[in-house]
Amino acid sequence: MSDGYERQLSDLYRARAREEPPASIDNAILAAARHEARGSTRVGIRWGVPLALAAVVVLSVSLVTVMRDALELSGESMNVEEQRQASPAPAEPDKPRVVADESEQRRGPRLQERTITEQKAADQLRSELAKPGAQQSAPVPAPARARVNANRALDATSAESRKSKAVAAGRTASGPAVGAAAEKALRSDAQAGDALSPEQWLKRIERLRKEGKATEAQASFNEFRKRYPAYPLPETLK
Amino acid sequence: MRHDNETSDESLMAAFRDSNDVGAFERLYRRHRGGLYRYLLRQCGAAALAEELFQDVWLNVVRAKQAYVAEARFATYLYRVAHNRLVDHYRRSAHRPSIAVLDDEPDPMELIPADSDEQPEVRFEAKQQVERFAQLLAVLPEAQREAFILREEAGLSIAEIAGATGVNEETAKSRLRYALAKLRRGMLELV
Repeated sequence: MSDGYERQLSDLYRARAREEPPASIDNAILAAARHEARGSTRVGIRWGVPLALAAVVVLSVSLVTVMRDALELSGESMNVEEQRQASPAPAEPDKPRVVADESEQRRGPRLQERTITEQKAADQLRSELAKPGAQQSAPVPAPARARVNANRALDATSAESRKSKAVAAGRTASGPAVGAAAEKALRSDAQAGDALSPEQWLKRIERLRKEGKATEAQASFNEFRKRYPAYPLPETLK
Repeated sequence: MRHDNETSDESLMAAFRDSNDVGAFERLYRRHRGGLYRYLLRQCGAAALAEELFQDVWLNVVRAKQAYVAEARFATYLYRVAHNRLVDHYRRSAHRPSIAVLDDEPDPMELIPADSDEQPEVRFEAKQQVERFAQLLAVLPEAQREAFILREEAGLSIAEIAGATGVNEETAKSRLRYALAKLRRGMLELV
């Protein structure tokens, strides 16, 4: 289609296209525009001051809250320091443990006390396990399991006292060579008492006997009897 | 703020949106009032309805001025609002005018400028042509008529017609081509 003909069509259209909206509509629309413009300005002025005040209030409250929390935290950390100075830990604490303690201490004094007890028990257990021969058997528990650690530490403490008694007895009975073997056996028994059930322990004693380690078997049996005096023994051990 | 005739539509709308410059809006309104009104008049076929829709469209533009983003020509934006308003009207009234014949149309003869040297036969022929063209335009399918009017009244390109009517460019181009072809054929039949 040629541009010339398109132009002719356009001219024909324009020859007739002269209608316009009435003036009343023009006025109505322009009045609405003025009203809208005034309204927008008024909204800006009307809400400006309240918005500014609200912002000031929100900022002040946030600042006070943050400062109060900061003061509380610093007070708590000072208390923790005082407690540590009063009862210093025997072994150097692991870094994650310290972090965990601090986070727990924030939760309240009761939890704080429990945590300190648990930490002492865990430290005791750690020093116990650090002794020669202990590293081979039970794995070092994770610091996060503080309660389990505490129970094990208590068991280990009682086992330690029993062990020292048994070692003393073994020395008087069989001399230094036998005593060393018995001591070794008892150390492992102390661990075994924690890790093995009575049934498993008895089987272990039987195995030692079969292997010809009579002294170790006897020491282990004595240890077993101390711990489980009423446990029924199998025929082979009676 | 002062605005001259060269200030773009987009700058005028931005001045109204950002600075509540009513003068800028008035200038913008004066530029587009006739074209928009005729677009609506041709599409809905009744002056009273066209006035109502016209007012709605401009009030929408005024109230939603903050939503205006100058990513396209203002004319495209304005006619898109108008197109949507028309579609909304059709949907509500469940009536689409098949033939837009105006009741109180002025005599086309009066619209043609009188020339003292012009022969009465020439004037009569011109009158016939204008009348014939108006009839042909009125019976065009709505979408084709819309494409033609958007080009004539708003000066929109094919892409802008597509943007205003919510179709792709190929469709808009096809509509305009069909409209021109039908108008041309109809005018040739008169001769």
